[in-house]
Amino acid sequence: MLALPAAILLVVLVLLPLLFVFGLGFTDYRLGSRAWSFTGFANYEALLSDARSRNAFLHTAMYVAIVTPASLGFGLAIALAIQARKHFRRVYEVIFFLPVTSTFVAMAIVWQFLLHGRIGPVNQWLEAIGVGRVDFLTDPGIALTALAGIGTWQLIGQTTILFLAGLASIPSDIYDAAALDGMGRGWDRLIRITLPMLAPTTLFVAITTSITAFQVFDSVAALTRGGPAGATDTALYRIYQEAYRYTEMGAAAAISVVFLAVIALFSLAQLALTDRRIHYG
Amino acid sequence: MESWDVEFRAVTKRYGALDVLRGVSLTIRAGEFVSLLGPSGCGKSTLLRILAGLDNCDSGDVLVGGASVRHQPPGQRNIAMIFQSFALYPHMSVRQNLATPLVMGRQSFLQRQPLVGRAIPGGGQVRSQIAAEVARVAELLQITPLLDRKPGQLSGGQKQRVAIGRAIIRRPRLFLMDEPLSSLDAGLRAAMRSELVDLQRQLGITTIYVTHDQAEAMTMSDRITLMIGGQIVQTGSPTEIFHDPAHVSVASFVGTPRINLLPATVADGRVHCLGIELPIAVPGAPTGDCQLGLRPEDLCLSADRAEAGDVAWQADIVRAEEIGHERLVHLRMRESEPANLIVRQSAESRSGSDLPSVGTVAVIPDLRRAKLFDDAGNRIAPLISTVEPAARAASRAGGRF
Repeated sequence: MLALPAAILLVVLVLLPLLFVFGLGFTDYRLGSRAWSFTGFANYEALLSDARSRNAFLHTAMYVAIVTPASLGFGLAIALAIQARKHFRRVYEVIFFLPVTSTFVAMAIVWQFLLHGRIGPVNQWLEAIGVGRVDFLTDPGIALTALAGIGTWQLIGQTTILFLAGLASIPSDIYDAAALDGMGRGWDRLIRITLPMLAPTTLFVAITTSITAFQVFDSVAALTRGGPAGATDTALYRIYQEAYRYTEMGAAAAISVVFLAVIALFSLAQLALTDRRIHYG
Repeated sequence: MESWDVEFRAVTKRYGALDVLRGVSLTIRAGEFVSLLGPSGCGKSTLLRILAGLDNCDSGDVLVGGASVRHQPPGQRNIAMIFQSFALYPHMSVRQNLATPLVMGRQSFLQRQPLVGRAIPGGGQVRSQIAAEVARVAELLQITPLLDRKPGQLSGGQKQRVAIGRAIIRRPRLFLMDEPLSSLDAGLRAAMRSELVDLQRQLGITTIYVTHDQAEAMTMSDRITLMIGGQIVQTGSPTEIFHDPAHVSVASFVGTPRINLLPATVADGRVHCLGIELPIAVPGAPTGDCQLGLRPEDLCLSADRAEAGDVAWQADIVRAEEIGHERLVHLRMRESEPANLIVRQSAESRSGSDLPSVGTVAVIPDLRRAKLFDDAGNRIAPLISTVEPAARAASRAGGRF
């Protein structure tokens, strides 16, 4: 009974739109048109045969494959480093968390300047150390990796804070007992005590980070607009293009449904594979 | 098992503006069971942690077996410790918990690694040695059926045995315990107390036991070291601590209910307390204010003023607590200073005398057991009871003491 308001909101704001989009995927509705009809699985077939859409999913997968481990790994390393400090912890926490709080579209201008092929400081520095210029955002082979780097930068703050919370929940006398057993602050303590006890946090961070990574849109829309030559097309950007550029709502809905299914399966797979091996509590 | 002695030399420790340890010096002989007893915040846990290597002292030295360990990391000191929360590794099985000290101690760095460790040649023998040791300790502590469980599935007493197992498995030269029984329920605590003492006698390892529970310290230790405010106040056997306190703080801390402290004055070697000149002599004691300490069992009550004699105070009974084998009577002294007294009456001493539960009674002290403390709290000794032999015999016959 008490859950009724929340349940109503959940149904109205989440479930009903979901079903609506699901139904929309079977139509040929165009944004604003009065006449539309059911077309069965035509949108899905078009999705499978369209190279651009397939590439979009591929690029999204590559992006997630880079961003998730990178932001988890760096986040954990930074969290361990911050936790080892005695003073000025707050200062470092704030510094690393700032990118998460920043408005990305504003940051996009900064990144565009930084990574500019000719006048960008990064390229000037690369030239100075002899590596030579790299066209980060305009070279089809590198653009997606560049975006992945930016995405990692944005997510590190979040993973760091979450890992810090997880580390704080490890009781300090476990570390004392470990010290007496011969485990100093080194590798042994990390793989025998810290990482296993951090496992629930790691799973949570992995799932939320991968979901966020799947939904990459800001950097694509602001920096490369899917280019160069479709090299940074990602799933959500394709949905946006289909829905609002080409006004093909039916097609967009179909891509959305597939997108949702992929994310859901990926998250469930993460849970299923690790659940038994993680020690809770 | 080889065991070592411990020496603390003028150890100091400061946290910010707070002096936690103020020049603590203590020697502990090999094989002894010593309790560090004291109220919360007295520095006993800090001293233990400094010995274990988990904290550093600011100045002074810590020696084990004659050699300074002050700069040795905790893992190399060969010291085992049991924590109040047991600190078992929750994600490892009991078997792995027990094996961890041996894995860290005997296997090389590469051999320890999860997957590749097995491929390193020569590791098999060490692994089977470790497995044999785990089985031996599990057998000794009767936890063999629990070996494949995780700590979360164990009861408090079982967890403690695993903690003990993990501590003794590598044959340490010192055993440190930081209030290990305080998270167990009362019945289990008493049982584990005797088990710990038996184990220590059997293994003969020097043991240092931190507690705030004086009953534990008194029943388990060879010697007790009482710490208050970062300093050692007295070190001695339980009997000495109880019957021969060097300071009023020692007398107050040990003994339940607390010792009764009455204000008194010393003049010319005689003692006056609450209007009565006491038949005791303190030759050489400085003139001035002092405190007369009488434990609840050193006092006796009588409803008959005449029978009580000259050396007795008047007091009103506030409350009598019946505990079955004894009765604790709370009294309020009649004299000017508001002095509250607690008198312990054992069942035998009461039989035959029917004391009311309210009203005014005479309080008769057993001055042979009285303790006198000067203004600074130090014990004034010797204290000679000058009660006439005849009077003493008469009061003994009266069956009140």
